[in-house]
Amino acid sequence: MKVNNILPHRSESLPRPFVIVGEGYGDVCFVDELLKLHKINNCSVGCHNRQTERKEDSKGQMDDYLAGLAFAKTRKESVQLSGILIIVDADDDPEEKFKMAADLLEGNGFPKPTKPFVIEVHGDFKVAVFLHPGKDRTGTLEHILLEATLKDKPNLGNCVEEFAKCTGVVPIAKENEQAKMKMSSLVGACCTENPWASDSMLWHSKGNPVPIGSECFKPLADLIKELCA
Amino acid sequence: MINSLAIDNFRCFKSVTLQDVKRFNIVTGTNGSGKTALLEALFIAAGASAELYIRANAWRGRDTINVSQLMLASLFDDFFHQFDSQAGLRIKFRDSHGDEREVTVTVGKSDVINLPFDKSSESSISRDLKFIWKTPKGTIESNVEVGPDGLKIPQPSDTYPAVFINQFTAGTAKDTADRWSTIARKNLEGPIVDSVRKIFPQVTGLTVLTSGGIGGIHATVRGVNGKIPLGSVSAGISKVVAILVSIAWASQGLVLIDEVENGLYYKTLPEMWKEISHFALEHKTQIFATTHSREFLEAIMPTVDNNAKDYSLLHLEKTNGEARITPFQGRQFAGAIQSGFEVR
Repeated sequence: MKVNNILPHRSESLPRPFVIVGEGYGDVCFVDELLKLHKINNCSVGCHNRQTERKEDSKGQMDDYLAGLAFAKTRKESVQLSGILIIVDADDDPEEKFKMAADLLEGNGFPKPTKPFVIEVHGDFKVAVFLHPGKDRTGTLEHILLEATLKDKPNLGNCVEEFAKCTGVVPIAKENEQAKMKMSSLVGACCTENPWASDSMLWHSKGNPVPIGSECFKPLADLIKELCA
Repeated sequence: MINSLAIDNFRCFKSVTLQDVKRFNIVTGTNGSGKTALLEALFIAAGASAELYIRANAWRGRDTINVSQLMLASLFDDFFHQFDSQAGLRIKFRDSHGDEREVTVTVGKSDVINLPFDKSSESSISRDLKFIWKTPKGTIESNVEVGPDGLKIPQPSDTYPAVFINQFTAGTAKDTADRWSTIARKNLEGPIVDSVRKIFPQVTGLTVLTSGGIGGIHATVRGVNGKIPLGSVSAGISKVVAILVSIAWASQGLVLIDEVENGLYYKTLPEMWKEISHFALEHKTQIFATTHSREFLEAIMPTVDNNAKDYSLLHLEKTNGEARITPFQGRQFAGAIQSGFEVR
């Protein structure tokens, strides 16, 4: 039977007690793969919907999504919501991104976490914020995907670096864009049947270079396990 | 403007309260979840005659009351939650001035025997049915009496301005014309015409004309010589005019719209709601509108975004025959829709 951890568009209710909220569909599909790998079946994952979303900034989109969760959890078909994990890119300012996530949780009636990377328990509700690529770092989901890929295929590292230099992305582009470009070039080269596979499509593309079981993903996987325990 | 509401033992509501009620209240829920009953509760509390109940039932398809077969108590039984008429019912609201308005309906035991009106019906023990409105001006009793000529119900007085618009009342040309005339006497009809032009550019003018002694709104339509009765132009246009006229007429009161999107082309909805919103704010009229339409909810998003503090989504769900209302304030309501959650 196909496992579906992703909250569908136009969800009416929450089918599982834990929810992970990502910034975009790439985060959602990545977490979906982690949930499947670790056989965690009491947790859903979702993000704002691009078809209906009119806000362009990530903060507004996540705010709307949390509002949707706050609505959905009141519906009689919903199971009791017991915890939320927000996953956002740290970008250049992890402190600011954590504050944003914590404030949005509070603004939508959920408990406000005080620090990232830990599960905090407020009564019978768990709440946490994870910042890609990990503790004490700046960056994005693509940083962690790139690390996992190059750890698994170290021979591709130099090639990707050289290619990035040739294109001028290194050193001109910002750190986040460099990581995204390098990851895209790897996906383009490895997913031969779908070289344009996005970070949401790559998991189901033949030749996907990202090993979902990588140690690089352990901190997030452990946090999810603790949330859903 | 009503800012709190309590309903006890009315239709599907055993006991519900609503606080911090907004100017614009969008009511959603499945069929039979209590959306229309919520509007009826407000309408009956706003009025001051038991006749309102008869009207509300008529809109629900019980448009003929055969008094000769009437057992008074059973006529009103479905007024009460789970038909528990002995508990009585209470609907109470408080407005932004702190004024309260409450209607209670009680059923008292009586030894009066209703004699049959015709040979086919049987006599029955009647019960007194008392509607009591408590308003800032005093107490109004409206007892329902059964006499040889049928039901006797006093005329309403001291009402809270309220209009109920549904598929039956939206096309009532006389009511809309009467309200239009009231507004026109104060020279306030111009903005209605302007709004209708914005929503329906083909309509260039509106006026009340009488035919056979009965007044009705007529429209001047681009490309058509002469004025056409509004109902003949379009049921949708007629409905929108009825809503706008009602908002102006029920200034500082209530307009209750059941299934607001019915009869309207989807591209009309954003502009229509923009005008309704503008009008309601100008006339300080409070709106309760039920809907099943996602198109409508998406169409009103720009207006909700701009006036989030004035909006609330009231979502109704029924469990074991008992309805509950979950309110969501404007920003959360808009967020839920825009992020792709189902709020209908």
